[in-house]
Amino acid sequence: MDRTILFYSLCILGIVGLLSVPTARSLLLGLDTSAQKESGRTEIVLAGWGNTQEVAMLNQLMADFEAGNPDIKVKFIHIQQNFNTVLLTMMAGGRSPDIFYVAPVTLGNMLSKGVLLDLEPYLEKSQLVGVEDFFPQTVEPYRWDGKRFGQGPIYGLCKDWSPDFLIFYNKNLFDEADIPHPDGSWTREEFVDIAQRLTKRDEQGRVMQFGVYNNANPEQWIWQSGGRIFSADRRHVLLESPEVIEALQFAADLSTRWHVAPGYAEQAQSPVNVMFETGRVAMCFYGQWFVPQFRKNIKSFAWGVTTPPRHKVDIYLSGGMVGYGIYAHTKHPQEAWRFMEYLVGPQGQEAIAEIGWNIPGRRETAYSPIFVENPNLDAEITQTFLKAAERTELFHRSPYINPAEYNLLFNPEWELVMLGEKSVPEALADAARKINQAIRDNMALQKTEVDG
Amino acid sequence: MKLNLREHIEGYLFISPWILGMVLFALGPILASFGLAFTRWNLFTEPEYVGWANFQKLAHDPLFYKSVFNTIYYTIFAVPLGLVLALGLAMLVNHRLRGVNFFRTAFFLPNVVAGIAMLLLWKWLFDPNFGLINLFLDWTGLMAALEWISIGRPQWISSRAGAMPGLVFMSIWGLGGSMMIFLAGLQNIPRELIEAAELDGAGPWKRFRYVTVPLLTPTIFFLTMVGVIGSLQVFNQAYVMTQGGPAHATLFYVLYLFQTAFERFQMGYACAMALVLFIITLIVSLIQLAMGKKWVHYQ
Amino acid sequence: MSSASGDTLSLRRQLILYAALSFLAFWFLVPFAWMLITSVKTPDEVFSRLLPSVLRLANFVEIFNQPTLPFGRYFLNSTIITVFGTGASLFTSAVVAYAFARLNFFGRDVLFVAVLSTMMLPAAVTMIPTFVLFQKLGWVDTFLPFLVPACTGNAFQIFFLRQFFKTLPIDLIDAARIDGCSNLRICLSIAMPLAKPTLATLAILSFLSLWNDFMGPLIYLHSNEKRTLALGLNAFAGMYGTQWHLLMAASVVATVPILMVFFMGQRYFERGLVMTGMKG
Repeated sequence: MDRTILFYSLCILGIVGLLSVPTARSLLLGLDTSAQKESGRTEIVLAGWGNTQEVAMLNQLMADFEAGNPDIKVKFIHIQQNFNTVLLTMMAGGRSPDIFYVAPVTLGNMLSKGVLLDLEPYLEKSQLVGVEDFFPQTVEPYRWDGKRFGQGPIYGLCKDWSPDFLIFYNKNLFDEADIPHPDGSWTREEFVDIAQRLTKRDEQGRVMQFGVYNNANPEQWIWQSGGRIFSADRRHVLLESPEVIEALQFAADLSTRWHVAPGYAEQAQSPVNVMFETGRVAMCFYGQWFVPQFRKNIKSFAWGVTTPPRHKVDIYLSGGMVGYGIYAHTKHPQEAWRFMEYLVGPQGQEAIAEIGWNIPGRRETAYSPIFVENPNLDAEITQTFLKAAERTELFHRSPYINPAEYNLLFNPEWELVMLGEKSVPEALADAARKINQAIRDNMALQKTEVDG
Repeated sequence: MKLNLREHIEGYLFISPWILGMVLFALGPILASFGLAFTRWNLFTEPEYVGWANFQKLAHDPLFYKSVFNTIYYTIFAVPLGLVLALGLAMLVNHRLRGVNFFRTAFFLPNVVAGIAMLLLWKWLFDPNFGLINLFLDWTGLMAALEWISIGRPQWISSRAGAMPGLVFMSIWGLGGSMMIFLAGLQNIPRELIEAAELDGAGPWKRFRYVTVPLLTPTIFFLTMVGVIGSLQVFNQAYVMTQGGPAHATLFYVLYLFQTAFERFQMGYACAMALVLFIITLIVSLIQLAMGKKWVHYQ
Repeated sequence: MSSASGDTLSLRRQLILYAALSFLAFWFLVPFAWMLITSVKTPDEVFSRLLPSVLRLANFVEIFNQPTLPFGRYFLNSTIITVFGTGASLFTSAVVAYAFARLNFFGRDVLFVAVLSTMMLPAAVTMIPTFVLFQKLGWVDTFLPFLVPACTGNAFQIFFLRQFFKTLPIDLIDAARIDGCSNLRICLSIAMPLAKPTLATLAILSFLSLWNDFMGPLIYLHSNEKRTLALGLNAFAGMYGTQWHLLMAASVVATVPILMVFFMGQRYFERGLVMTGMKG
C-alpha cells in the first residue's frame, strides 16, 4: 500500500482509537462522561451561575453532601450567561439538569412551561426545612396556583436575596461638596438637589463626575410610586398607569432633565461598578452582593449605604433573588430533593452567610452571628440591608412573557426616552401595546398548558 | 464520454461525504424551514400548523422592515466603500517596493485579529467621551471643526444617527481580505497589456479605466457577490457592540432572526424569517449574476 | 508572474508611496496596537496615559486566575474545535474537490453547481432546523455540531481546491494512472502535496473563521467549561465591564494563536490566492 494512504489510514484509526477512551471523548468532543452507572450512585446535576467564591462554596457544599450521602453524586454545570435561555434550551432538548437556580424574575416563564416540580409534598415530610423558615416575601413569588401568585403549590425556595437597589455613596465626594451623609430620610427633591451638587463638568461641558448612576431597576421607582408593572393576573402590563408614568418620568429626568445621571451614551458603555470604584459617580444602586467586591476594590475613599429617597410608599425591591427549583420531569426527584434540602437547609445557608455575599433566605441564618458579624462585611451596612429587607418585595413577572422578550420590547422604547427622542407617556404606551400583544400571542401558543 | 461504471461509482464515493453533509446540513434544513415556517412552535409544545399566519405577521411587523432597512443600508454603504478602498490599497501595495510585504501584512492584519476581541475594543474606541476616536478628534481640533459645522460631537454607536455610520466606518478595517484578492487579480494582469496601452499613449487614468478595471471585473464581481452576501449576515458586531440598539438603530436581519428564535423562542416565526432571507439571497444572487453577464469580461 | 507596476520607480515616487503606505498602515494597526498597549497597562493608567509607564505583565497572570472564567479551558476548547475542524474539512474537501476536478461521473456538473450554491447559502437560513436536529441528537453543549459538519467538507474549500486541481497537467495524472495508481492514491499522494499553497491558504482562512466564530458557540455551547474563547471574552466583558487592562490582556491571548498561524502560513498565503486565481 502507498505510504500516503497508509499515513491517512493510520491517522483515522488513531483518532477512532483515541475517541474510544471516555476521557478523550469528553475533552475532544465535549461529550459528558456520565457517571450514572458508576457503583450504583445516582447522579444529580445542578445548574447555576456565580462568581469565584460562590462556585468554590458550591463545590465545598457538594463535597460535604456527597460525604454524608454516598449514594448520590452531584455535578455542577456552570452557565454564566443567558442562564434562563440556555436552561430552557437544555430542557427542550431533553438534557435538563435536575436542580437549577430559579430566580423569581424567570420563574413565571418556567411555570407556564410546566417544568418545575411542586415541592409541597417534599416540604411536608421534611425534618430539615419548612417554608416558615424563610423570609415570607421570598416564599410568595414561588407559589402559583395557575392564576395567582402567592397561593397554591410551591415551586422553589430562596437561596439568597437582598434589597437590590439601596444607594451606595462615596463619602469622600459628599464631604468634598460639604453635604452631610444621607440617613435615608431624604425626599426625591432633596435627592436630586444633592445629586446636582455632586455632578461636575469640565470646561468643555463633559461630565467628569456624575451625582448618581441610575442603575436601579425601574420597578424600584414604580413600586415607590404605588404602581405595578403587571396586572394581578399577569395578563397585562400597566405601563400606561399614572403611577408608572410618574415613576419613570422621574427616572428619565435624572438623565435627560437634570443631567445628574449618565445619559444613554455614557450609560451604554461604562459599567456602573467601575465608575463608582473610580470615583466618577457619587451614588449608585446595588444589593448586598456588591458589598464584598467594593470592599475589595475600593481603597481610596470611604463609602456607605443608605436607602433610596422616600416617596409615596416605603418599599424596596429585590430583582436578584435566587433560589433553587427541581425539574418536573427529573428521573430522580427524591435524590434531587435531598440535595436541595441540604442546600436550603441550615448547613447550605450558613455557607452562604459565611462568604457573606448576600442575605441568606432563611431568616434565622440571616440574623445569626455568622452573617451579622461576618468579618468580611461591614456590620453597619449589613444592618442597613437587613432592616430594608424586612420591607422588601420581589419583582412581579408574568408566566406569559419571558424577561428576555419583555426587554426586547421594552428597552428600545426606553432608549428613545433616554435619547430624548420620545416622551415617557408615549414610549410607555407603545411599549405596553407591544408587550400586551406579545402576551396575547404567547398565551395563544401556550393555550393547552394555561387551561389544563 | 465513455461509460465507465467504476469511475462513476468511484466519483460518488469520493464526493459522498459532501453529499451527506449537503443533505443533512443544507438541503434538509432548508426543507425543514419550509415546513416549520408554517407552524407556531416554542420548542416545548408540538409545532402547530398555522398556515400563512407567520408570513402575514411578518408583513405587518415594523421590526422586520426596520431590520431589512438596516441591513440594506449597511450593505449599500459598506460593500462599495470596501471595494473601492480595497482596490486602491491593492494598487498601492502592487508596486515593487522594498518592504511592501510588510504593508500587505499590515493591511491584512485586522482580518486576522477580527474576533470578538476586536469588537470589544471598537466598542471602547467609539465611546463618545473616553474612546480613542473622539479623543483623537478633540486632540487634532477636528472636533471643533465638526462642532463649527454644527454636526456636533459624534456619539457613534451610542446614538441612532451615529450607530450605522460607525459600523460602516469600522468595516473599513476588514477590507484586507478583498485587498489580497484584488492584489491577486492585479498580478494576473499580463504586463504586455499595460505596456501596449502605454505605447498607445494612454495615461495612468486611462490605463486604469480601460485596461485594469475591465480585466478586474471578474474579481470585482466575485467580491461584490461575497460582500453582499456577507453583509446580509451581519451579526457579531450588532450582538456584541450594540445589541441592536439604540432603539433598533442597528437591528440587523440576522440579529432579529436570532433574537426571535433563541430569546423569544418563536421558532416558526423565525423560520419564516429565515425563508425570507433565503429568498432575498437568491434574488440578490440572481440579479447580480444577470447583471454580471453584462459587465464582467472574462479573459 | 508579472506585476502590473513592476518598473523601477523613481526615488521621489518611492518616497511618496512609502509615506502614503506608512500613513495608512498606521491607521490599520492602531486598534491592534492599542489593544497591546492597554494589555500591559495598570488600571490607573488605562485612561490617564497614552503609553504605560511600567509593563504590567501581571494582567496576563490575572486573567488565567479567574476560576469562573477558565481561560485556559476556553483556549483548549477553541484549539480543539479549530484544529480538528480545519483538518477534517480540508481533508474531505480535497478528496471531494479532486473528484469534481478529475473524475468523470454522472451528474458531476450539476452537483458542482450545487456546491456553488451552498457557498452562497447564508448560515442563518439553516440555523434553526440544524439546531433542532443537533438538539434531538443530544449534541447541544458538545463539540459535535462543529466537528461533524466539518467532516463533510466545506463548499468554499471544495470550490477553490477544484479550481486548483483543474490546473494540474493532465499528463501527470495519466502517467500515474499508467503506473497503476488508484484515483485515491493519485489524489492523496500526488494532487494534495502539489496543492500545498492552496491548502495552506484555505487552512488559514478556515482557522480564522473557526477561531473567531461567535454565533455557532453562542447557540451550541452553554456550560462554562465547554465555551470557546470568543464566548469567554464576551462573558468577561459582561462581567468585568471596562476593566480594559484585563479585557485587552485576554484579547491579546485570544489573538496570538491566529497571528502565529497566519505568520507561519503567510509565505503560502499570497501565492495560494494568486494560484487559485479569480479567473472566474
